[in-house]
Amino acid sequence: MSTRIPLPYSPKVLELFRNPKNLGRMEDADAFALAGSLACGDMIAIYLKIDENTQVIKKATFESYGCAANIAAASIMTEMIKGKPLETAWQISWKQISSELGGLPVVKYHCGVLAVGALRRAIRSYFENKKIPKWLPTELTADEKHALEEEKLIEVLSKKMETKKKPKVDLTYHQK
Amino acid sequence: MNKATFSFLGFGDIEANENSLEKLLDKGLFSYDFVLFTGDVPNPEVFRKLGKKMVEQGLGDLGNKPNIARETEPKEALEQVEKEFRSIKEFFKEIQKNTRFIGIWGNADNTKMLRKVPIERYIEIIHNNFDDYMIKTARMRDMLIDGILSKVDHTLLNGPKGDKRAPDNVNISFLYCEGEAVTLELSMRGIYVASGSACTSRILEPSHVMRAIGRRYEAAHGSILMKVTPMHQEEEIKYVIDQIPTTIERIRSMSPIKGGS
Repeated sequence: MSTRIPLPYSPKVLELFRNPKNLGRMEDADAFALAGSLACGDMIAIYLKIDENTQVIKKATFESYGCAANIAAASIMTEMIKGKPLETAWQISWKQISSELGGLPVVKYHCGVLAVGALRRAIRSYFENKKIPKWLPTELTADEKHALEEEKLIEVLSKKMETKKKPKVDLTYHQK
Repeated sequence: MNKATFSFLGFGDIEANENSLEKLLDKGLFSYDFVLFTGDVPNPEVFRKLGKKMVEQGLGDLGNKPNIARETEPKEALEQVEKEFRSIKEFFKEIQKNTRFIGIWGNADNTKMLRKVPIERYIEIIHNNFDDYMIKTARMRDMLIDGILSKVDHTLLNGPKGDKRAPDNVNISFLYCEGEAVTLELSMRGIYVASGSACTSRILEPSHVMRAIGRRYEAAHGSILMKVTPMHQEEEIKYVIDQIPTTIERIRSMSPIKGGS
């Protein structure tokens, strides 16, 4: 195993990147949510299997299109919420995820935020056609808003690109 | 104090990002008198900054400053590099008698990888066999490109094929695949590459080079840059071609977006 890693990741992040826990699609999920977008480079899918009576998360899995921090954050989060009631799972913050991972590099904080955003979106989707419990806020929380912002980021970037002048170089041979 | 003259040779790419540039400058780049880059055509910003400093040091009139940033075609840029080599060689001969040189080479992005070698020796090795090296490098480059493109689906070759391509450059976008994860996975297999993904740049924007050649964000995120040097062996290229398909397959298998869908 090499010591040359592109970013200063903690051993826990590297371990989860190599052997992610709870990875994979769940076909019979009770709740599902997707956060992030292909264009912004990070995308997390969360699948939950929930006990109807006790509202305890029986099983949680994830899929990730993203960097190692993204994969590790989603993986550790599914470990953290397994066997917990939805209310407890809702309280999990990205800081808990980060400390659980032994610290994320600063530029990767948003990966933790995106994971929390995906989880909360999944929990909301579970209560869509059900009685909404008291602990579930009607307003979007900061982490959920952040996930939305990240999805919108690409629009901002695209606008930035358009305002720039097009290069005069002949680019025809770059097109496949 | 007796003023010794030092030279810095950055062999490889300088990523055009503010952070890595500052890091390089922190490494005392400015204490060197001469800077040469032989990698990709880098961001002109890098040259502007370095050029300014060289002028400040009274070395701006040497006329030997690298100016490959002006070239738009990789091939032309390379020819420019060769010209630079020639003039530098003469320049060194001229003042070699009373000055001392220390050259550093390696991928300039990765300051840890910089290795100290006497610059005279380096120039001698590369310059005397310039044509042979370029032919050898281009052959290994084509081997790598063909190997990867034939073994992995949903790929895009960034840049031209054949003569118009710089001999050392391999840049391929793996669609439905995130580049940073690929670089990490490959580094665990002993292969060190760069990516144009937003996740690898510390400003979290996809590579400006990929965007400038008209690639979509998705393609930029999955782009992998590899460099072949004359020092590489064919076995190493074969090893990379062997490792890439399983790497890409693993990263793609984790994604909620499946290829073709």
